[in-house]
Amino acid sequence: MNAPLRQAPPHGALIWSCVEDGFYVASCGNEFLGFVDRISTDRFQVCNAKSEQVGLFATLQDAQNCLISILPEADASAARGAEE
Amino acid sequence: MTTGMHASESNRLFALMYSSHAIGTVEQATLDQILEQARSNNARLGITGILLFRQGRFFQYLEGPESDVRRLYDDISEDPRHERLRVLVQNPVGERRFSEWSMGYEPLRPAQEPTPPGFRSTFVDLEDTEHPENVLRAVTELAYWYRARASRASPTADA
Repeated sequence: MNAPLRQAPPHGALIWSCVEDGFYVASCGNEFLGFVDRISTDRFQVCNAKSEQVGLFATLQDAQNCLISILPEADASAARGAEE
Repeated sequence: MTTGMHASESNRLFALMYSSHAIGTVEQATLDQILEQARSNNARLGITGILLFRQGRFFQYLEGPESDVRRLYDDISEDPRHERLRVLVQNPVGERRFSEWSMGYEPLRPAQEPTPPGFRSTFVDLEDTEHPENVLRAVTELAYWYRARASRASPTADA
């Protein structure tokens, strides 16, 4: 089983958190960026910072990529930095 | 607990979140009873918040006038239905997170899956009181989760 990350995240890093099975929240610092909600086995709903739906995807990875793609440039840079 | 508190402090908007361990098995009827009691008391006191129940643990977020929130927490801590209470966060706040709910409740899905690689766990962070920034972020995550769930649920999300 994967252990959740425990160390404090670097300042300004994109953070993905799992609230419950299938519900994932993205944030950066104190800023909420949006969330991914699994609404069925292969349907992941992406919502932006205003909790408005912006897309439906078949995988969590695709849903995460969608959310990152709609972020303002500063947050997107943090997301890219987190992946490097 | 409010002894010595200035009037301006006792009336300022304040938030407190605690965790506790349920004593014995908690049936839905018990949760319903707790919620009914909480909503009645909170509406009278001007307190709002949410209650979560996860794997035998209660997590409750209370917000309202500081003296009332502290007094209510003192009363809650005497409730024989739970033990090992632990305050996770307590601080003045600028605005309410759950102003529409005298005590909101949404069931959590049973935790059956591993946390995806690279993800944090909201409930692990929620109890990481050595890093208050993690606790506060976890509270924010729960607030967005709750709103998403409540918006899809029936009007019974709160009284």
